[in-house]
Amino acid sequence: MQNRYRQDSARLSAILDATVDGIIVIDRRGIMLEYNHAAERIFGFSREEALGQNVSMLMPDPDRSRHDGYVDRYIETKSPRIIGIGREVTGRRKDGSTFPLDLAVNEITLENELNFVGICRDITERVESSRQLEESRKQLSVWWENAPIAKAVCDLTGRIIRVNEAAVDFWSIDRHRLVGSTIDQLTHPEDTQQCLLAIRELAEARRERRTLQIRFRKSRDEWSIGQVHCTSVRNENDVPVEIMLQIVDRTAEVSAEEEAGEHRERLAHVTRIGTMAEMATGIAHEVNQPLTAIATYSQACRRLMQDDRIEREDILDALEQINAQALRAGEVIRRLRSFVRKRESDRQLVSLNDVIREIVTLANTDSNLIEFEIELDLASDLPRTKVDPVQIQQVVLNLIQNGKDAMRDTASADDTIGVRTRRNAAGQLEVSVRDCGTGISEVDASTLFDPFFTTKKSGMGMGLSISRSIITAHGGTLWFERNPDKGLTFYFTLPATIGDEE
Amino acid sequence: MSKMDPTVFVVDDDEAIRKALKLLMKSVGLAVETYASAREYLDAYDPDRAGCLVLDIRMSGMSGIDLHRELLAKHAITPVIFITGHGDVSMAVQAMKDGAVDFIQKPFSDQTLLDRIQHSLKLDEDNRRALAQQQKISDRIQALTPREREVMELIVEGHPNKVVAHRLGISERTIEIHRSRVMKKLGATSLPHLVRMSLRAKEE
Repeated sequence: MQNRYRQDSARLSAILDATVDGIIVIDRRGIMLEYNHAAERIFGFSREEALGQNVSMLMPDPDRSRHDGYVDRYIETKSPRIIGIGREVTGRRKDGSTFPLDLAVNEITLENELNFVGICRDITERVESSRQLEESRKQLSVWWENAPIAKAVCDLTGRIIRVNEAAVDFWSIDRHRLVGSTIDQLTHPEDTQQCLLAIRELAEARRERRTLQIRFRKSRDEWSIGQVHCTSVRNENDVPVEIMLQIVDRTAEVSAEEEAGEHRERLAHVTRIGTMAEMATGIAHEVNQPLTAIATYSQACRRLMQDDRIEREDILDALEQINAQALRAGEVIRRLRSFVRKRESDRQLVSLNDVIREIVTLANTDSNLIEFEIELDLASDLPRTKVDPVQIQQVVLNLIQNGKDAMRDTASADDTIGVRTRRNAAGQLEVSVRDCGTGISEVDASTLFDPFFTTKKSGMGMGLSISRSIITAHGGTLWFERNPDKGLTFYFTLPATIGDEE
Repeated sequence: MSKMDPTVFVVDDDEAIRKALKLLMKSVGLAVETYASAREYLDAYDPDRAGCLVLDIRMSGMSGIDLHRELLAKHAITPVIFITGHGDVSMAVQAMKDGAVDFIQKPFSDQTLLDRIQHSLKLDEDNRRALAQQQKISDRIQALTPREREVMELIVEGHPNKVVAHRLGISERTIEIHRSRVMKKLGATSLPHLVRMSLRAKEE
């Protein structure tokens, strides 16, 4: 029996010593009965120094002086403060230094004696690292909150989880309303899809980051333009768990860019009108060349055939040349038409009145055009229309220019050009340009819209032809009528866009 | 003086127009030569060749206007007809000021062009004949002796033999001999004829 106990005790000691946690067994008076290697390492007291001593030597005050009371109270009340629970306490080393200690205590009964076993672990490092963690969390939060750019973290479906102060500013929405919002509530309807697609790409780890320009809702009909840098936040297995959006507010820049763009467009427009004149000269030359060759060849053929000196070879060659030159002229016209057609894609939903007002302003600043006043009569109830504003302005300017040219010789100084918009009986938008000029003869009227027809001393007769093809391409019609008193009125129609829809 | 037929020289950088004009000239039996550039024509230019120049005003490289000016600087007399495009009116006006015979707008009627060409060829023929005449007279005047020239100059100024004799300090009889030699050497048939020839020689 004795022998067996000794064997058991030796085995137990070996187990205890192999354990990494400090293990101390005390009796009900607090006297240490067991004290393993790990405990020696933790507290600095050797086994010999510890055994037989009160365990309170391993504690700093106030526990040190109160420990006996703790044990007595437990035995008396059986209400545990630490027994079976375990908690973080402060330990005291032999050198008097204290340290955080994770302590679990259980009661055991050995040989009918109530004993307590304490298992303790020095958690200095753990406490230190969690302190550091807390500190860097705080630091991170300062960085996060005070970052000058808006940051938002959303889940993989695009629901906002956290935002920083700048994000609250950016959206001008309360933080508690912002958190929990979804991307489609925050973005412009036209941009939502793009944004969700980017998030999905990141969520599915197909990409690591994306940069987009997105319009965000600021109020009911006010939008902020943000450049959004999206990055995925990944867990330890490199699987995306969250998406971070960092948003640079570019509203001011973009609207400045747009303004600059509009200005450029206006300049380009003026330039294009100048280019038209230059182009006209160039085209006249290019078309004239083959026409001259055709005329000359055919005349030469006639002469050759009138005489007896017909040389078959000459005639055949000339006819071939006539064919080739006619095709060459056709090619020039085709190029011209593709030039006009090239810009068809720039259609926008615009106010026709704005478009006309802008070009009339331009016409009034062009020194060649200011000799007569332009009277505007613009209907106020016009629906918007989807057109290429620059092309429509080209047409209006051409009609104004024609009117002024027609008036230059005969009109008196108080004659005006009338530009009018209205909605006609068919519901189309109708623009008219009325002049008080010399009008037009029956003969000229029949060829007025033909390319290269002109009554002007300078000019190549492409204006009305190009204008008509522009209006036709917009689904409208261009025609003219004689005024009852003098001059002509040119009309063109454009389809109204129903309900302002795209 | 060239013995060749008058030639229509066409200078145009557009091959189709060159060939068409060539055929047109051929159809009316006119000799024609075509050149693709002003430079090409200048390289082949021979002042003695009769004819007229049909010149495109707008060419890549040296323009028709530039070629015309270069020819004027060489004292060329060949008449020039400019063919112009729609927008080249101001250039054509400048060419006329520079002394071009004519200009004609593309596309043109064959009759108009051929009329202008015939007119230019006639002009060139007249010019060349007059020039040749002038050359002949001045050659003959060069052949006179210095004394005969002195006598001629005084006679054409309208002085009678007596005055001429007095001026030159020789006898009236000697003047008469010089005078008849002058008339004979120049081939003049009368005093007014002589005066005309002398004036023409001085024009040069």
